[in-house]
Amino acid sequence: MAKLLAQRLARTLAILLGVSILVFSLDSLIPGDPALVLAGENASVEDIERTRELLGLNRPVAERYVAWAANALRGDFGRSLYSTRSVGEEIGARLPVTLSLLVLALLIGLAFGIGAGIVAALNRGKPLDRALVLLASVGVALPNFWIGMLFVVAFAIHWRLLPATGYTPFTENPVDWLRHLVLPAVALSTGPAAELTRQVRGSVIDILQRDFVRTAIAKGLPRRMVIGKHVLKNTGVTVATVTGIQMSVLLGASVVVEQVFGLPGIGGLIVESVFARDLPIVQGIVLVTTVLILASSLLVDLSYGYFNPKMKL
Amino acid sequence: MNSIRLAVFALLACVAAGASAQGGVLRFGYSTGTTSFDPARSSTGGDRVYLFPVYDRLIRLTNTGEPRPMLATKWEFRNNGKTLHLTLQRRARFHDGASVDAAAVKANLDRLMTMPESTQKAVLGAISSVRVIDDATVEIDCKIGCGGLLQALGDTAGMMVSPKAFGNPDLGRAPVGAGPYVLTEYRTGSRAVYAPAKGYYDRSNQTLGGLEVYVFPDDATRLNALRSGQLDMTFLRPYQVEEAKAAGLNVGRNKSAIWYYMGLNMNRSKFGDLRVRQALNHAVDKKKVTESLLRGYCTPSDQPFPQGVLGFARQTPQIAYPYDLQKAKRLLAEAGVPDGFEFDAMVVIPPFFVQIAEALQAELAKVGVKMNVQPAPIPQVNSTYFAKGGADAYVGLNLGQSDPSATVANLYLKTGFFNPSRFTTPEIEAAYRRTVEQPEDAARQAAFEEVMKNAVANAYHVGLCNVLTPVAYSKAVRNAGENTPTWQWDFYGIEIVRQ
Repeated sequence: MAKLLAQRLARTLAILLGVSILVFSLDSLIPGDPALVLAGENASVEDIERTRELLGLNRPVAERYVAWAANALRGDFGRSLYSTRSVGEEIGARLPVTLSLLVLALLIGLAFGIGAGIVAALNRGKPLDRALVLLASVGVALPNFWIGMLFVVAFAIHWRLLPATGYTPFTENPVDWLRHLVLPAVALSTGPAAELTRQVRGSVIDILQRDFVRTAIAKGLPRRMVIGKHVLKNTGVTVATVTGIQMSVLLGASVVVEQVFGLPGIGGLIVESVFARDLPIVQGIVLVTTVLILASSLLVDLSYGYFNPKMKL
Repeated sequence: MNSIRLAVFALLACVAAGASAQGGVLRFGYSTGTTSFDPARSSTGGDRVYLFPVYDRLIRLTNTGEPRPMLATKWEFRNNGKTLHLTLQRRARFHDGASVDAAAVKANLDRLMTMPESTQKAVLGAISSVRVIDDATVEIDCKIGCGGLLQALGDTAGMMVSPKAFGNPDLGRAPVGAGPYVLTEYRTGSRAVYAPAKGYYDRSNQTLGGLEVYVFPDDATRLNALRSGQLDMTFLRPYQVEEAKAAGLNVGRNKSAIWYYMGLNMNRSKFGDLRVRQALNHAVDKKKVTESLLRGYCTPSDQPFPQGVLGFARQTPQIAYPYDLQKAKRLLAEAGVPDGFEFDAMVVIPPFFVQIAEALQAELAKVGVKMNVQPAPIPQVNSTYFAKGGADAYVGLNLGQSDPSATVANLYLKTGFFNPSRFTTPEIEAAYRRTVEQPEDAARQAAFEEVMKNAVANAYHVGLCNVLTPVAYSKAVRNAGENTPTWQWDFYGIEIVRQ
């Protein structure tokens, strides 16, 4: 286990290094000069040049990268070119919003996907199975943001049951926090829920035909115990794998869902920062999301050991 | 008995006056956050909606750019228009309790003119010195003339920050002004919350019980928030007007300083030839494009200034180049391109401007001119087209400045940032100089007539229209009529009355 963790840490650092170089390189290749915007709408050529110098934008890319990397190793990821707040502060203010959305969406997706998958498998061939499979196909096909927009029209504008936009921090008001997140989280969860339904259904159908399950049933164990204890645990590897894959899908989809629901998460921040060429913020967000994805991947790998002792690390 | 009744009525009147002066909280939806709460570091006019509630300016500008008293109660031009004499409001106080006196005004203007990273240097470039005459009197000396200075002092450059706060490292997030409201909360990318400032000197400018500005970059999201009751007011795109009206919202048509146009780089493609530029103007049916795409929320115009404001040339037709395909073809033939030509046009994202570009593309195709539309983010357009002159043309908007002289300088002078051709004429330069030298509006207007006559005659651009911003608001909003300035979002006089 310690060896695995050490290997993963080394791999993570190597990936972070590669990603940060890639982001810096791409930014220098794309035309656009933030100094032009930062100097103000009436700036003279001298003002723009002075702004570029003040921000260090006139230094060679390699020099800027080395300076950034040296500071990053000390935990200083620089400041936003526009707000002048530290990258840590900017991302720290927005990350809880995105994480709240992702976790809630994942939990909803897991609950529905696993439940629906099991029900579909246990009713294989029957109308209920067919209906759930159809629902899953529709869930995979429909874009999250479109579903979100429908939710807004129905639940927020027409029935005024839930808010259309905005976010309240959990620490400020947990009930309001949940009210603001229900619609976007359900919209975002449709993808993972649909995918999990299909995968869990297939996995449960397969496991139900295994010898040890037939033996358990033949021995007279209650069906509920067979499903709950033997089948579910063996489905766990499938669930963990799909969940791990869906994390990166969710992260990407959350950018659009945040826009639809006006959530001040890192999705909106990265879109603004890319268009504005706010490289420190872009760099910071890319690193944070890379760490999130790698961490979720590690958790998935570690979970395999629980679901299947043969795979213990 | 009568005296008791009188006393009761007087008491009730006082209570009523107090209640109406401190009304409901206005929740306003906007598209971006602020770049900074420090006027010296604010890099875009879009910050005004966040700064105006907190910072009073020396001058207040109406929707048509006319100056009104604010921190300066009176002003007078002296010394042949080279000195502006300001008398200050004695009752104004900064939110930290300090007086807004002449020393504070001088300190502010000096800071904006000398701070290395100040974004207001060019705006105050006409000033040579600021002198304190007494506690409530300041004189500002100008290099060649103080024309346009009142307008500049009615905008970001005229915002007064408490000098005690100059050294605050968090001034960009914790403003200390003398405005009607204080900032109580700012969440980046989310919202700004303001509460009424105690002891503010002008109750007519403090009609709200509070203000909340919510950030929703997406147009549909903003309208959804208004429709669902989370907002009281926001601006719309023209295509959203019918939806807003159908939802029972009030929709106003507010003048703005925004001008949609296609810029032509005279150093590239065939645009060095005046006949080609004029031909393109004649080839576009501006009335049709604005009516179909912009649903009438844009007045066709070859001039950047809307009708009725200082700078708009009454003696030059608003559509100087009427739609005339035959004339366009004839001009192209005279210029040696009878079969048309091809060029690339950069277009700012969002998709709305790409639609405008595609409409222009279709119009120009009728005379054999092929326009390739190249969408790009604003920093890329600024860098490639405006700064380096590295593209043939540009389709987008000009936001306009509070001082029309600044707009003229930006668009028509060689050094103008929005003039990538670096082209001008002696007539335009001379007329521009007069707009700066002359402080009085009548004399300036005569100079602007000359500027616009020449600028339009030289067909710098293919003008499209002056934007009328649709503003939607709920039934709780009072006094948000067409006089609400939408290029600066001054909430002066607006009230919220909830049933």
